[in-house]
Amino acid sequence: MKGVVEVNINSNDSLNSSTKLAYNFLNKVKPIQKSYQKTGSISNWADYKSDTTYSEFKTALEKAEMVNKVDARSVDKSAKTHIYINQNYTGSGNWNQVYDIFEKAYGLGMVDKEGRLLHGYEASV
Amino acid sequence: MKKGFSLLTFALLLVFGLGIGSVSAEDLESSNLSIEKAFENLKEEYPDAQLIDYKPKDDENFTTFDAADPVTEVDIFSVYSDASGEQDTSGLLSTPEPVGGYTEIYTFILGYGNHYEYMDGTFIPTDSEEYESANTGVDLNGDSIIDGFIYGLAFNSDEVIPNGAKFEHRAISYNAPWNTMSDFLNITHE
Repeated sequence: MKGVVEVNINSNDSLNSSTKLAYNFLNKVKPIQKSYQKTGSISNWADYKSDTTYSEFKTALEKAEMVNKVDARSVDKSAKTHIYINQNYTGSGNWNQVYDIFEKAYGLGMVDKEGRLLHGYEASV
Repeated sequence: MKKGFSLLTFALLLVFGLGIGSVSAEDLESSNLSIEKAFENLKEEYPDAQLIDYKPKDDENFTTFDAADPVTEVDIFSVYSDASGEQDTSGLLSTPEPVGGYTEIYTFILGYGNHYEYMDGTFIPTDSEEYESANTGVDLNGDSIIDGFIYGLAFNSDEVIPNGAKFEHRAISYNAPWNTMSDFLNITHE
C-alpha cells in the first residue's frame, strides 16, 4: 500500500457516522468475533477481514447495484445483536440508521455467508 | 378497611426494604437503635406488624446481575490512514507503514474498565478538539452480552504527529482485581 494514493474521498467521515459504524462492524467486529471464536484470541482478526475499503463499501451502497445475488439475504443474527447491544448500552451513533445500512448491504449481497465483506467491489460496481 | 390499609402500607414498607421514609440498617447502626426497638416504634402505628428474622439459605444467594468482567486484554489492532490504507497492528511495536493525512487508530479492550489514551505521553481527553473518539460494544460469543469494546480515535496525523509518536492505550478494571493493562504502538509518519 506504500506510496499508493487512494481515492478516499469519504474516508474521513466521522467515526460515529452510521456508514462507518456499519463498515466497522462488518470489517472489524465480525473478524474479531471470528478470530476469538476460532482461536480464543483476537490477534488473528486480519485473517478474517476483507480488503474492501471504506470508500469502496460506501460507493457500493450509493450505487445500490446487486453485488452477488447468491449472498443477497436479510440481516443476520449477529448484526441484529450488534445493533441491540449498542443501542441499549453505548451512547454514540444512530443505530437505527446503521440497521438500515445493514439491510441494504445484506440485501445487495455485499456480505458473504461467512459474514465477510465481499472483495472486489470495484469490479462489481 | 383502615386495618387492611395499614397492613398493606407495612407490606409495602417491607417490600421496599424499609428504605422509603423508614429506618435503614445503616441508620440503625449509626443511631444505636436496635431492630427490636425500631420495630416497637413501628408497631405503635401498625399493631398487626410482625418481625420476621429471615436469613436466606446459601443456595438462595443469587442476583440477576453479575459483576462486570475485569480487563484481560488491550490490543491496538488496526491503524488506518489515507497514505497507508488499513494496517493490521495487533501484537506489533510499530506501524508497518508510515501514516499520513487522516488517520484512525483502533483498540480492542476485553472486559470492563476505565480507559485512557496517550499520544507521546500526553493524555487525550474525550472532548479534545484535535481528536474524534468513538466506541462500540462487542459481543464475542453471541450471548447478547458485551464482552469488550472497540475504541476508535481519528485525527489529522499531518498536524498532530508530523514526526510520528508513541500511542498508548491503558485500561483499569472496574472490578477486582482492579488491574491495569496497556498496549502501545509507535506510529511513524511519512
